[in-house]
Amino acid sequence: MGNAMRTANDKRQPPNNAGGRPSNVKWWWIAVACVVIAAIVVLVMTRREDKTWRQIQHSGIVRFGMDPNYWPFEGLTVSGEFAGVDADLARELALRLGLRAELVVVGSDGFYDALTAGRCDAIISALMPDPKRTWDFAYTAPYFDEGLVFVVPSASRFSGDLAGRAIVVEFGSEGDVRARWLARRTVGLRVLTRETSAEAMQTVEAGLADASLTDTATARQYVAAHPTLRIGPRQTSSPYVIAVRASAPDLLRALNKALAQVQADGTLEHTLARWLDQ
Amino acid sequence: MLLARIAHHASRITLRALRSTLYALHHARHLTLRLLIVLIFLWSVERPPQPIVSLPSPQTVRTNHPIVGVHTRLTDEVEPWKVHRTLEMVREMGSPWIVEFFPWAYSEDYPGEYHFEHADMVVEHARAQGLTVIARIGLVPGWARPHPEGQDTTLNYIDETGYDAMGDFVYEFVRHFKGRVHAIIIWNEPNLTFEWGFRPVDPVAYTALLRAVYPRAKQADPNMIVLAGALAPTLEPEGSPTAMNDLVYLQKMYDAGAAPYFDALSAHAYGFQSPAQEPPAPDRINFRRTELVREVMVRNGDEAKPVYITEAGWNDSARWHASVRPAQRIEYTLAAYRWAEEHWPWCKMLAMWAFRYPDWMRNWQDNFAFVGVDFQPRPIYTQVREWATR
Repeated sequence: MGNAMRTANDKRQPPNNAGGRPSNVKWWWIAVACVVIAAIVVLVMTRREDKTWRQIQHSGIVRFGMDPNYWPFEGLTVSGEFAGVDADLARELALRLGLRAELVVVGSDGFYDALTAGRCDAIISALMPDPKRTWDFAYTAPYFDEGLVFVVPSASRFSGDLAGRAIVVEFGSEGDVRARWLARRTVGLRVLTRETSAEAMQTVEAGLADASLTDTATARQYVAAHPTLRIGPRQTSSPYVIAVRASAPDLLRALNKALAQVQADGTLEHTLARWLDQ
Repeated sequence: MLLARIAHHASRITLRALRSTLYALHHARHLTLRLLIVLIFLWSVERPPQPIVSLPSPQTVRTNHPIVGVHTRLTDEVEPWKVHRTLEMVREMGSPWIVEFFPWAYSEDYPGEYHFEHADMVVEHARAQGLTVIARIGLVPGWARPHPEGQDTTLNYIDETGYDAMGDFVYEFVRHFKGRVHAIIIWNEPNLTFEWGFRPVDPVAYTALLRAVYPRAKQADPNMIVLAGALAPTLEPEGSPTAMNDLVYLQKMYDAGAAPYFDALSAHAYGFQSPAQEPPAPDRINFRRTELVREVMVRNGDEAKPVYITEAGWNDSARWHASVRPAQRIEYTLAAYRWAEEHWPWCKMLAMWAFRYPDWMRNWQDNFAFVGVDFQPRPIYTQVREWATR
């Protein structure tokens, strides 16, 4: 009976119910729109003010915390001034934001405590993002990758295929740990060890190994002085970022915007080259 | 491999239970019966999971050098199998001691409400491996610090209004772990500003903290050894915004009357870029600076008390200013264990920082680890194991 009735009604209605109860559909959409607008209004009204950014704009100073013990990313000159990649970058970013950078010494043990206690507004100190901390802190886009790379002869066609190859590493280094890990997974991969990273790369220059595995900054520094070698494929990634308090989204946005600018116009690469490629 | 098999088995059992429940639901005619089936299913899945890692049979540490110790970092290690594996590797390395951190803030969310489940797991796994545990206590819960709306403070902030509360916690901790923990360390590196909640370091205030806490520990267990100090080796002069020279700080502790409020001293003995044997000097930070710390104790009539070195070591980061090459790190570390064993009769134990982190620190501090987050041993682990157990 029910089925018969439904069939009869269906015959009277247009296909796929397009014209059925038009007014109800319209009201439904109006209701949805109202809810969305109300949600936006509530979000805008309840959005917490970024006090850090307001304070920075008021004072004209942005305070970057850094541990000056990580050359060439950060260090102190004989006269006690901050120098290195991060010091230059911090000053440049502040300049792009129309501010002055104040660099504050913070021990790396206390980076996040220093942000929490308001000792500084941001941390720029060869810092890698920590996923566990993203409830309280936020990170900018990366500005450098310090992960492991292969260093190969300039004329080499090495593309990262390791089977049957010989790679050389500094004994006990991150490259060594990674190479041992790779050796357990790659048929025919031989791992040679040397006491220093320089000796490892000399082994490649001498043609005794296909590649050396080392961190990016060490690789850049060595290759800059030894044109017979070049940086080959990347093996791991360790991005450096800037950290701010999660309650400072406007500061984060401003730093990201300034970072994008210095990346786009080549200033960042120039800064990296100044400290790494010499 | 075993864990993969357990996980596979567990997923098959769950799928079977789900299939059986759906089948029974399909065939059950009465609503009550259907509801009952649903309730039984929900109860079975909502039941607290049974532990899949049980304590092993009691093990014994085989070592030729009982002074060997390591500082583990199991505080934030959630999974029991990782706690088990970490401590098993410590035993296999020939280290009979561990120093571990037990944050007050993690165990007393609300005043008087104590939770020692995780701490119990760590201590029981350590004991099962035959390890002796030294517990470092620190990190102040929010309720024992100023209200954040008035003042933002870090977990290392404590003022005199919180001393009694810490005393109560220490009483409860010592009572709970009586006979299972060898010693407790009160606070960490109070001579560093950031470890003192970004307030000016203050040996008199730290002594007052010891005075409040020590009697409470003894009240709970007269045999518990209370360690003080754990000072960071530093040359920062008095009045520095970041720290105070450890030798100066220790003397000021004695001047403030700290001696009766600790049973032994905890010392930190980092080598930075110097070999282990380099002689000490007041203006040098090296491994043997501990001998100068010892001199301060002797000068103040405290020579009967032993020293426990609860942090030490070398870092082999490629870039940190005070690091050494990985091969040097191995050489210096082994030399340090030998030096303490042969020359320091007052030294009970030497713990290197740090055995393994629960997660990457993502900075140069990863280069203090003996074992990777993934349990991959670094060459220093292999070499110490070889030396301690051969």
